[in-house]
Order: sequence, then C-alpha cells, then structure tokens
Amino acid sequence: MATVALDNVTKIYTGDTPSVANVSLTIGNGEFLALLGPSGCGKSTLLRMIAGLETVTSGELIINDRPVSGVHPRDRNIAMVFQNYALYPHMTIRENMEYPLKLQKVEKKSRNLKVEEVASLLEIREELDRKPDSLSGGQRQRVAMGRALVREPAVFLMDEPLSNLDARLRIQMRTEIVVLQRKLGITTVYVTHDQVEAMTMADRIVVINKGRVQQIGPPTEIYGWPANLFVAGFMGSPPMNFLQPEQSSRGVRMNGRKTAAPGHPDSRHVVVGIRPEDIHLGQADPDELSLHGTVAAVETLGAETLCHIATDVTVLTVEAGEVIPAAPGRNMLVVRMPGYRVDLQDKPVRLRADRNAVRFFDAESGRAMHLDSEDQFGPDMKGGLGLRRFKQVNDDRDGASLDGRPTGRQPQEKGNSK
Amino acid sequence: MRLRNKPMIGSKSGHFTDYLYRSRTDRWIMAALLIIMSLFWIVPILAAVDRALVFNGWRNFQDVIFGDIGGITIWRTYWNSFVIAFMHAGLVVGVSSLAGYGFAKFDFRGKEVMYYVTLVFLAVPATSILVPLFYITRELGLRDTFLGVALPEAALTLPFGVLLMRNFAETIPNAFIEAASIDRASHFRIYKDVFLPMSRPALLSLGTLSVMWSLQDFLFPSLLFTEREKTTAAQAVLRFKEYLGATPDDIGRYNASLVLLAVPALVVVIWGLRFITRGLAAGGIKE
Repeated sequence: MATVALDNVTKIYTGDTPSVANVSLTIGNGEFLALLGPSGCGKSTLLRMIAGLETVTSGELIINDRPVSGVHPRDRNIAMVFQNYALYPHMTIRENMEYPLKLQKVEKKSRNLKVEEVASLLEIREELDRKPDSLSGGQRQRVAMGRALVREPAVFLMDEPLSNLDARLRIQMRTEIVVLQRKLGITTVYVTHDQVEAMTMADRIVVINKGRVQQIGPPTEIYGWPANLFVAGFMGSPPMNFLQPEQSSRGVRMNGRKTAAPGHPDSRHVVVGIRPEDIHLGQADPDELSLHGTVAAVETLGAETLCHIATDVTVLTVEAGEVIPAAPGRNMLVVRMPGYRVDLQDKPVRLRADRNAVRFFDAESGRAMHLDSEDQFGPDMKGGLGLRRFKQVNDDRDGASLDGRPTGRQPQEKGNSK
Repeated sequence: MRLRNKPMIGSKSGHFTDYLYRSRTDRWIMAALLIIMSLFWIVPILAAVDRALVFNGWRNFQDVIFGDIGGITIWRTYWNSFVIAFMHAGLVVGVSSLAGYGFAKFDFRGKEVMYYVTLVFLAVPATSILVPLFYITRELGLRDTFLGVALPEAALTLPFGVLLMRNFAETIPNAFIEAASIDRASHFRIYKDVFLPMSRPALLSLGTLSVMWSLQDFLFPSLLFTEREKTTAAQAVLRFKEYLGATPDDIGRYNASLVLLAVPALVVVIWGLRFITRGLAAGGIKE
C-alpha cells in the first residue's frame, strides 16, 4: 500500500502545448481514484507517467515519499492492467500470472502457491492451463488483474480495463473490481472516459480536460457542485441544462423571478445550470424557479422518461469552452421524470425547479460562482448540499479544485501542496 | 461487367461468391491464362523428367541416387546445401529479429536514416560485390568454408529480413512490451520471452524463405568453393555437366540429376508454404 503524490507534473510531447499541464494531487493510502475525461484529454498520459511508461517533462512524482520521476517502471513497485489486457498469447494463464514472479526469481513452489491463491480469489482456477485466446472477455480481464495482483504491488494502475467488455459484463466487473479493491486495500488509479464507471467505483474523481485538472472531489460533489461549465456539461447523461437569464441589472432573473440574491454585476455574464432531474412538472411556488414550454419529444427509458421541452428561455450549449446560445426555435430543455410519460407528447407544460438545485457559472470564465463568494447566493442557496464543505475546502481562495490542488477532504491525504 | 446475384459462401447450394462479379466468359478466360502461365514453369521440369527417362528409364535416377558423379554423390551436395542454408537462415532470422525489434520498439537518434540505408541494400546486386567479397573472404580465411558462403548470402538477405521483421514487430501492440517492462523484465528478457514467441509466424516465414533462397544460390558457392567436396546442389548442375559426356546414357543421367537437384528446394517450399503466406500476410494487418 502506498501514497502517490504528483507535484506540478507536466508532459509536453512536441511544441508548446502540454498534453498534461501542472497536475498536482495526492492519492491517499488505499484510495480508489478515477481519472475521468473525454478522449485525448491526457488522462492516460498521466497514468502512464505514474507507471513510468512516459517521461515527466517537469514536476515531480512521488510514490511512498520517494521521488520516482527518473525511476524505471520495474523499480516503482506498481502493477498495471491495460485496456487490451496485454496477456501474452503464447503463454497459458498460469504462465502469464507467474511471469512477474519468475522475473523476481521467486522459487517455483512459492510461485505456484501464489498463483493458485490469486486465481481462487478471482475464480479463474479452472482456466489456469488454458491459453488467453480461449477465454471470454471477462475471464481475460480477471487474468490481467490476477497477473497484476500476484506481485502484491504498492499501486494498482488501470487503463480503461472495462472498455472492451459488453455492457452487462462491464457492470458485473465494475462491482467485482470495487469489492476486490476494498478487500485488498491497494491504492488504485483508474482511467476511464465513462462517467458512470467513475461515479460508481471511485472514492474521488479527477476530471481532466485538455491536459488540465478541472475538478477533484468525491463523485457526489463532482456531480452536485461542478466547479465549472465543462464539468457540469461532462458529468451526467443527459448533461446539465444551461440557460441564459434575463437581461437585467437587478440580479439574475428567470421569467421575472430572481433566481439568486442581487449583487452579481451583470446577468449577461451568468449561465444558469439545472440538472434534468431537478426540473419537475407543476406550478412553481414563489421561492421556486418557474419555466414553461411544450413537450417536443419524449424518450422513454423504462423506469424514467426524458422530455425535450421547447421553451422561450434561451438555452445555451458549451462547445470548446465557448458558451453558445441555441438557434431561435431550438431552445430545448431536457427534463428527466419518473415513469412512462408518452402522454406528455406535444402538451404544454409548466415546470418548476428548486433554487437549491440551481447552479450559477460565470459565462466568461466558465467558473462556478459558488467557488468565489457566498454573498452572491441567496440565503436559500447557502444551505445546499456540499456547498459549505466546498467553501471550507476552498477557503484558501485559490479555487483548489480548478487548478488541480487536492481538495483536502480526504482524511488520509497528506502533502496538500500549496 | 455484368453484376450477378450469387449465393454467399457457405450457402446450402454450395456455390461460392465471386467477389469480382465476373461473368462465366470472364472466368474461363482467366482460367485459360492461368493455365498458360503455369505451363511456363511446368514444361521445363517435365522436359527434364522426359529426357531423364528416354534412355535406360528409371535406371538413370538409380545411378544418380546410389552412385557418384565425378567423385561426388548427390547426397553430399544436399548436405552441403542444407548446412549453408540453415547457417544462412539462422543468421538472417537472428539478426533480422533483433533489428526488427529495435527499429519498431525503440526510439534512437538516426533510426529512420539507418533503416532506409538498410533498405537501400535491397537494390544492390550480388554481382557488384563479388570481387571485393572474393578478397574479403580470403583475408578472413573463410574460403572453402560453409560460413564463408552463408555470411555473404545473409548480408544480401538481411535488408529484406529487417523490412519483414520491422513491419511485423509494429503490429505487436506496445502494451505487451510495457506489461513485461512493468513486470520487471529486462530488454533482453522482453525480446526472448515476449517478442520472439509472438513473432513466430514471421520468423518461420523468413526462415523458410532464407533456406529456399540459399538452396537456389549458384553464384557464391561457385565463386568461393574450390574443393570438390564442398559442391552444393545448385552448383552441381554445372559440375555434373563437366563430368558427363554427350552420350545418350550420360544425357539421361544428367537430366535425372537435374530433376533430383531441384527436389530439396521444392520440398522446403511445399513444406514451408503455409508459413511463408501466413508470415508475410501477418505484417499487413494491424489488429
């Protein structure tokens, strides 16, 4: 077991654009940390730097208080599960699993015992004398984990290990990996582009975009209190609705109602964000946000229904860091509601949203306003889930979650670099 | 060309799909052309077999197999040929696999320049290096040794070997190398334990081709061997002719020896054809 610390780690391949820029974070002993982001965001590069498969251009990598930036992968005491598993096709499962032990010159008897022990743990004992190509995707995945586990590594690195499995198996393996990780308590760094994987498996998520850390925090916090427009739009499926408030000098207003306390200089620079599940059918109470529109399309998912509602409010989209208003007539709100609601098709509807569920972002910087000042929110906003915690974490006013510094929430965290 | 609806492969009617959508006439023309082309290869061999049987019939073959011609048996020429061929193949496979692994999996200064210089030697004809080779082998004391022939042969085959092995090595995902590296394997262990076993199709293909090409080599043995006992099968075609006269008996024996001298290369090709096709195709598709 180990702690891993990254201090201003940067990777530049060619030119001036870094693939990974100034990442600083600490991974606690036994923690399960997910690196999440879209394709090409630098998450795999970051993992490969921890593994030693990529060099670090600048910054320092520390495993168990030992700087390892220039240390060969074999001397870092890490194990890695690759996206394509990388099981040696010419070796049996037993040979695959004992190969790392053989290289450590562990004697045959001990090797066999260890392989049998891990194979029992992963329920692949029956497969030990088979070749990888005769195994199913799930079994191969287990073998890849087994090969990593026999070495009893200090840190377990996983690079999208479930992406080659079908949806059902992915859900099953997801649970198995979490149970195993909790049982063994090995510090784990897990790369994925799948937010569901990150949300369900990780103790903390690091959201990365264009090589930069966007936010670090527990899944509920990342989902509930996104640090910026990117995180808000990336997390959740369908993503958060972004709306443009009315042009007003009297604070942020929607449909004539104040949605937050006055004080913000200009509503034109504010983006209002509401999750699809936080918008409900019905007449709004005076302290609630009120919206209305016509249901243009209904998508039924069985237990719930997604309604696409044409509305008069200007709906915004965030593309490549820019906030763009939807074309006239294309202002569609997405609302998630329980049950099977095809009856709503083409119906005019009134909608309401609790103010506690509304998030505000600066349209220029994309930054969430709850990170900057408590004063900018109405009294009812202060008690929202996670806000207080967030305020405590960010008391240093540097917007820790934005620049990649650890939030300091995890009790096991040390070395909160400042 | 007309498009025709045909049943798919594996259909119950037993027909196969012609993916070129050829008409019946097209197919007949193509088959006829193929038969004519194959005659160009088959006719000389059939002619040799025919002439070997004209006088004394099969006895000519018995004489060649059980006797000797000019003090050397056909078995001795086979042995010489195979010793050189396996030395050649070993050198080519060993060096090409190392070079292919290095070129595909390592980054170093001047890598691409070195690689293209290696490939340029594909175009160098053996005849252009004969004279320097003659002197070099003499200075090194390699004249009249099997190694003295296998080495220059390998030098000429290596550019192709390196090309084949690099192409193949690039189809092996880096994750295997990285996994072994994390598992604490040294570079040599990765080469030995991971790269070589995974390159088996390409290595077998290259080895088979190397054996085949060496068995067919006439030039280097003729230049570098002066001792009669070193005569190879390909070289024996000429040497036997020096000893056999223009009598009907000798013409029969000579033609019988020609047919028999072609046998080793044919056996190697027929045995190794599956490796050759599999190995060469393996480099073409990235998985």
